[in-house]
Amino acid sequence: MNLEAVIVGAVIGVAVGWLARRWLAAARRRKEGGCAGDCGCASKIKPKR
Amino acid sequence: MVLKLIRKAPLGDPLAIEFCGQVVSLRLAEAENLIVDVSADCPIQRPRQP
Amino acid sequence: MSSPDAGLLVALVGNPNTGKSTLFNALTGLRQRVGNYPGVTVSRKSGTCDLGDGQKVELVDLPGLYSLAAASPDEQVVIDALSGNIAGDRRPDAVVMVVDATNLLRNLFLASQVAELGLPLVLVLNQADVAKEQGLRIDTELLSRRLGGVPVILTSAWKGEGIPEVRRGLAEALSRRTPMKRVAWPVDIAGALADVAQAASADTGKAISAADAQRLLFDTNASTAERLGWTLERREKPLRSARERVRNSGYNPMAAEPLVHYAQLRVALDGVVSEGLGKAGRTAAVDRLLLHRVLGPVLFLGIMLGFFASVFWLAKFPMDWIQLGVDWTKGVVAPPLEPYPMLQSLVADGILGGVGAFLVFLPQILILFLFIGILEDSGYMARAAFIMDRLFSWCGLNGKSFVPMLSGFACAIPSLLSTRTIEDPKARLATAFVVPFMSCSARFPIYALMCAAFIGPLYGPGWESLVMVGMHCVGLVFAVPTAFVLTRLVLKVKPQPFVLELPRYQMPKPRDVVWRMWQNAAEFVSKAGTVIFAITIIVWALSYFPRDASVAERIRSEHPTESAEKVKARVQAAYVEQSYMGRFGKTIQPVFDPLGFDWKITVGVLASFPAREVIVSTLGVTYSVGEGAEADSQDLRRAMQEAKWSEGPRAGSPIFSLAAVLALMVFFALCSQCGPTIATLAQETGGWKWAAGSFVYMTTLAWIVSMAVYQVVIRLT
Repeated sequence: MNLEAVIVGAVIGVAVGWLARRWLAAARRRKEGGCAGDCGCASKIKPKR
Repeated sequence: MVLKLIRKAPLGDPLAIEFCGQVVSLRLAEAENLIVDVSADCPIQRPRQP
Repeated sequence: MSSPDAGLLVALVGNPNTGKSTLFNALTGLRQRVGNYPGVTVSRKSGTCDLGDGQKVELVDLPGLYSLAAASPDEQVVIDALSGNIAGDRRPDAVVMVVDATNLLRNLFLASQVAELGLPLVLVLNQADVAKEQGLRIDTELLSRRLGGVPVILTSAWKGEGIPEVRRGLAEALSRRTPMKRVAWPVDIAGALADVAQAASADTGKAISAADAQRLLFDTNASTAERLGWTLERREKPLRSARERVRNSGYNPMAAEPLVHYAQLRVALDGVVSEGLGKAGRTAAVDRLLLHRVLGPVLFLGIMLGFFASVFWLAKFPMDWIQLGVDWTKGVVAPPLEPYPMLQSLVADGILGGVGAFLVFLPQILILFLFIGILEDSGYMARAAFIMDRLFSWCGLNGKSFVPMLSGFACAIPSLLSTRTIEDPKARLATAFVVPFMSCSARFPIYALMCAAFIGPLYGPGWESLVMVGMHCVGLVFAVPTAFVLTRLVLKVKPQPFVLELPRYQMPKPRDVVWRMWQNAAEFVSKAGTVIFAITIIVWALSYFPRDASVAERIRSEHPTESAEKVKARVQAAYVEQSYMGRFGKTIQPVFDPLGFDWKITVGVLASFPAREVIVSTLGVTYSVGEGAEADSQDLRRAMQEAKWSEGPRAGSPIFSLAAVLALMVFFALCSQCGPTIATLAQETGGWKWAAGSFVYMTTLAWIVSMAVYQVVIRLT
C-alpha cells in the first residue's frame, strides 16, 4: 500500500469516524435524558431530575 | 389599568392593544382567552366577597 | 457552559426590549461565550464582567421574559437558572434586573417576582435617555429606599452611560447582599401559599421555597410540580383547595399574583416618577405610516423586496469571490499533486470542494443576519410580523414565519437560522420544515440550463421566462398545504397565542448588530459547516472509487484522433460510470425510469443530494463534456439535445423530451437535495428526526409530482 492511499484512506476514515462519533454521542445524550440534539452543549450536562 | 385599542393590522387581524404603557398584538380569536380582572382601584370595581 | 468552581455568577434578567443585551455587551465587552442550555435550543450567553476593583464575575444573559409564569422554553430556562435547577450551572449569587425606565410599573412586576427568590439585586433603569426625552424624572434614591435599599441605577446602555455605576452597584450588592423588598401577601393568599408549600413538602419530602410555592399556586402549567416530583394525583386536591381559599378572599387565583404585585408597586412608585414636558412619542407617528391600512403593506413589501434583493444580489459578489478563491487555491495546490491523481482529486474536489461548499453560504448568512439585526433592533420586525400574521395564521404559522420564508428564496441555511426569531415552537418547527421548499438560488442553474437548452429554443423566450417563474412558485404551492397538515394533524402541541410586543422604534446599535451577525456566522461554520465538510468528502469517495486505470488506456486507444481534452472528458465520464456512485445510479435507475431519467441523469440526481447545484457539473461529466461545465455551457446543451435512449421501448427517442425536462425541473424544485440544509435543520430542531422526516417527505413528494408531470406531459405531447 502506498503513502497516497494511506493519506486518502485516513482522510476518509476521519470524516466517516467523526460523523459517526457525533451521531452516536447525540444518541447517547438523548438516551441519558440529556440534551436532545446536536446543539453543541457539553454531553455531561443534563437537566436535573 | 386602561386597555386601549390602538389599531387593527392592515389586513384586519391581529389588533394592537395598549395597556400598562406597552403596545401588544392580539389575535381576535385569542382575545377570548384573556382573563380581565377588574382591579381594586378601578371605578367600576366589582363587588368582592367578604 | 460555566464551570461550577469559577468565581461569582450574576444573572442579567429583564423584559424583552429593555436593552438588556446591549447592557450585557457593554458590561462584558466582547469577552463572551455562547452555548446552549441543555435539552432546549435556548442560547446561553455569558461573559466576564469587571467590577472595577479587580473583582471579576461571570455575567449570564438570560432570555427576556415578562413574568416567571413559564409559557415557553426560554422562560422555563430563566426560572430554572435563577433557582439553580440547571445541572452544570450554579444558582446565581446576584441578579442585575434591567427595566425600561419609561415604563417602570410594568417592568417592576418581573423584578418583584424575582425578589421572591431572595437574591441580592441591582435594579438598572435602562433607556434613561428616552425617559428624559419623554420628560420623565425618576427619583432613584426614593425608589431604592422603597424597594428595601437595593442599588437603583439609571443607564443608557446604547450611549454607554451609567455602565461604571452598574459595576459599582453590583459590587455593592454582592458585598451587602441586599435583596429587594418582597411583596406582602394578603392573609388568605399567604395562608394558601403556606398550605401549598406544606402539602408539596409532605408529598415530595423536599423543602419548598416561597418562590416555588407561588409558581405551584398561581401557574396553570405543571413545570414546577414536575421538577419537584409532585404528581398530578397528589397535587390536584391541595392545589384546588388552596385556589379556592384565594377565590374566597375575593381574588381570581389566576390573576391574584399580578393584582397584588401591581397594587404594591403602585404604592412603591408613588412620587418616584414625575412627568415634565417631553416630546410626544415618535413611535406612534411612525406607526401611523408603517401600519397604515394601504401604505403599511406597500412599504412593507418595499422593505422586504429590498431585504431579499440584498441577500440575493449583494451576496452574489462575495460568493463569486469565495468561489474564485477556492478555484485559485485548487489551481495552486493541484498541479504539484499531478503525480498523485487520487490525492490530487481528494484535495481539489473533496477537501477544497467541501470547504467551498459551506464557505460559499457565508455571505448570504452574514447579510441576512445583518438585516435581521437591523429590523429587530429598530422595532420593525415586530411590525412586519404584525402585518403578515393574518396571511400565515390560517395554516398554523404566524407573522414571524414570513422573513424565513422570503429569505428561503435566496438560501435555506440562513433562513433556517432565522426561524429562531419565532417563539412559538410549533410555528417555528413548521416554518423550518417548509423553508426548504422555497426555491433557493442553488436551484437556479438547473432551471437555467433546462430552459435555455430546451424550453427557449422550442417555445420561445416568453415560455422560457414563464417556466422559470413557475418553477420558483412550485415549492411555495406545496409548502402552504404542508404547513397546514403539519400544524393541524402532525404536531399535536397546543399553539401559543400570538401576543407580540410592538416596541418603541430606536436606532440599532451597530456593534450589537455586527456582533450578533458574527456569532450566527461562527455558529454556522463550526456546527453545520463541519458536517457539510465531512459529508462532501464521503460523497467524493463514493464517486471516485473504485478507479480502474485500464479504463483510461482503453478510451485513449478507442479514440486516437480526438483531442486530449475530449479524451479526458470521456475518461472522467467512464470513471464516474464505474464508481460506486455510478453503479448505484445504474442500479437505481429503474426507480427514476417513470420520471424519464436515464442512468446519467440518475447519477446526477444522486450526486446532487449533498448540494443540488452539483447537477450541472455532474451532467457535464456523465455527458462527456468535462468537469467544469456550467449552466450556460453550449457543449453541454448540445450533448443533452442530442442524447437519445439507446435501449428499451424508448430507444432512439430523445432523453430530454419536454416531459423529462419539466419532470427534472419539478424534481429539483421539490426534492431535499442539500446536505447543509439537512444538517442545519437537525441543528435547529434539536435532533435528526425532523431532518430525516423532511428529507423523506420532500424526496418522496418530488418523485410523485415529477412522475405525474412526466406521465401526463408525455401523453399530451
